[in-house]
Amino acid sequence: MSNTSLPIIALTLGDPAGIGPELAVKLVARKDLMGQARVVVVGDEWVWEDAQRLTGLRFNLSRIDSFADPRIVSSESPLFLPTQSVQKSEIVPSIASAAGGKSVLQVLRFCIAAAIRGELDAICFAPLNKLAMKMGGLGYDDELHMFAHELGVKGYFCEFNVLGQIWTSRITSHIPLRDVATTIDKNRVKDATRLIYQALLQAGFAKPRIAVAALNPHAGEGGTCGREEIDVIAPAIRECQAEGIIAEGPYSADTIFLKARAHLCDAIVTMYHDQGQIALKLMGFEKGVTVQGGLPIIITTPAHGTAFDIVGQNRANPGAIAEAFGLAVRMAAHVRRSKIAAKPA
Amino acid sequence: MANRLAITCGDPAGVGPEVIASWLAAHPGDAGEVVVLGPGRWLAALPLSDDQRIAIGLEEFAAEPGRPTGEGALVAWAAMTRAADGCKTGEFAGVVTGPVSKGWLSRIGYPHPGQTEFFAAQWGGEPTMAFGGGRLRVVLLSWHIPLREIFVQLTEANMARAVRAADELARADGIDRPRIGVCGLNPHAGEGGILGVEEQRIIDPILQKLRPAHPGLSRSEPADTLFARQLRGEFDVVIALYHDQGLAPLKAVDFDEAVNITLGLPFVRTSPDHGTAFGIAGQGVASARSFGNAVAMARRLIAHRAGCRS
Repeated sequence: MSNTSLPIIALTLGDPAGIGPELAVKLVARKDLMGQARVVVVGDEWVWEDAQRLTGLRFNLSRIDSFADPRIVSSESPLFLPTQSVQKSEIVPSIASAAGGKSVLQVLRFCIAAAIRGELDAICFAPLNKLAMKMGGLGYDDELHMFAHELGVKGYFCEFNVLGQIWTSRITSHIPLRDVATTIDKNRVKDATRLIYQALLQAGFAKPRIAVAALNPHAGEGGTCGREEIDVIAPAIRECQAEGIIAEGPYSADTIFLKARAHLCDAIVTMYHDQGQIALKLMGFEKGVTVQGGLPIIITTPAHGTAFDIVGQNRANPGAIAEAFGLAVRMAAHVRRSKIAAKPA
Repeated sequence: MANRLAITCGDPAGVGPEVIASWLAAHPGDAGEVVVLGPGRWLAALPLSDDQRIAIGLEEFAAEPGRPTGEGALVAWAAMTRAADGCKTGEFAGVVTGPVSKGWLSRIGYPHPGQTEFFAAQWGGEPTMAFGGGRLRVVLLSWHIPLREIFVQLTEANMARAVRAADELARADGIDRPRIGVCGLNPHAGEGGILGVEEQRIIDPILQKLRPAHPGLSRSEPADTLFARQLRGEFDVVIALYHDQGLAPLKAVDFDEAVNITLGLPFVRTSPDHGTAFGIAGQGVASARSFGNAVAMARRLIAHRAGCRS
């Protein structure tokens, strides 16, 4: 395969006060991963420089001015696209700040704009800090809503949490539990099931198997302990099955993750935040990956945060960002292949 | 002989009889302190003395593993009834129950959603469902109710009951000053009211009232990290507000080990935290670990209560 067919991935450094820049440097050191894509590291020179000094790793990456630079087409090694998003004097390591948040927002928006112009296939971003982003003027519930808005997404979108071979999504997220039962409807269950099915295909699963969680104890015990399973979830699953999606359930939420661990399914659609998060966090989700689902481009990030407690110590583990990058590559390559296949001869 | 532990067979076609038999075979020294209730033919083959067998049902009844019947469910129910009666008369100190089939029991007119409610009806008292025996200790504030009805369960009386149970569970395991973590209801425990108000308006004020009697009681904590924090040793026991909030982490961490414990009643009742597993009954593959833990847990609780009385 010539490298002009490899996906173009933007790698951003995350919040400059966190471990993101350190992780990005350690990731670029992974030649095996860098060889799978055409990588553009996007960030401020001084942040990149400091992170190289911290890790003792040094790369002479060619500088480019924009994603339109023709060197992206054929470059064999990662390129560096410098931004000017924040001054070094504005950042105190390990402290969330408006300046840090604004820097993250500016770099991500810059990458999104390039994606809209068709200049890149995926973004893998190093950890950002939600509080800093809000201080820096995010203006949305979270970064996913910002991406969806800037990319003009009209359809269903949601976050996927990926831990090893287990994918999960949730029908409702950051809403009071009181509102969960009334928010869940057949269309949401169907949309979420379809979306994660498509994402798994992109990630290389030939026949993704989706398990859908129940809402009530023991999956409602035949309607004696809640009716949402009978009235909403089961009909939605049947309609997905009719579309050819391999979906099953509703399964009792207290054992559904055991099915995933036993590889009886590839993905779990949960109904509310804690239903998935309790199990994921017990299984070590800090090693996992978050995929922003339902967007026209692939965006991934490690599940863990900026880890302010270990900033500047060269102790940050790049395992999760390597997973996030690898997933972005796989999914973007799949999308590229299907676009090529769809082109008329 | 007084103060023996009663063991009920559970559904005779499930894995209950075989895990009991394999536990007895593996623990010959313990066997003298239990009385087993179940079908007479099954009892005859167990390594027990005559005064340790209480035959239930018709003499010729024999269950076929994996093939539940109404008659089998009747035997399971009658064994539970006999064990509950024996506790009231002082014959037994407590009960360890084998797994029953709720479906088959309800078919023959059993009016309770589970065994917990049955023993509460027999003995009186307000039951609390709790779990231990493995790495986690979990107490449920509510259990067999639809998710949309959890909110009415968030009362001071229910929380006080759950806290008492959590306290007893930890103390029975030898912990003198239990640190009790309480799950929030909403994502991130409401995040200061942005993601739900029950923590601020209901749960935390109740916990504040209960804290003088239980200094180790937490505020409402984000549920998605609380169980991992218990595993790291930050808490001795966690109170979950609803069924799946507590059972999902428990089954993920302690699938083979966990014990279902009924607290808040005059007598102790424990049970292995697995079902009848009709699909594998009779194959000899069912693990007896949870059952063994249920016996040990019942004994610890009984000893703890005896110590409190003396």
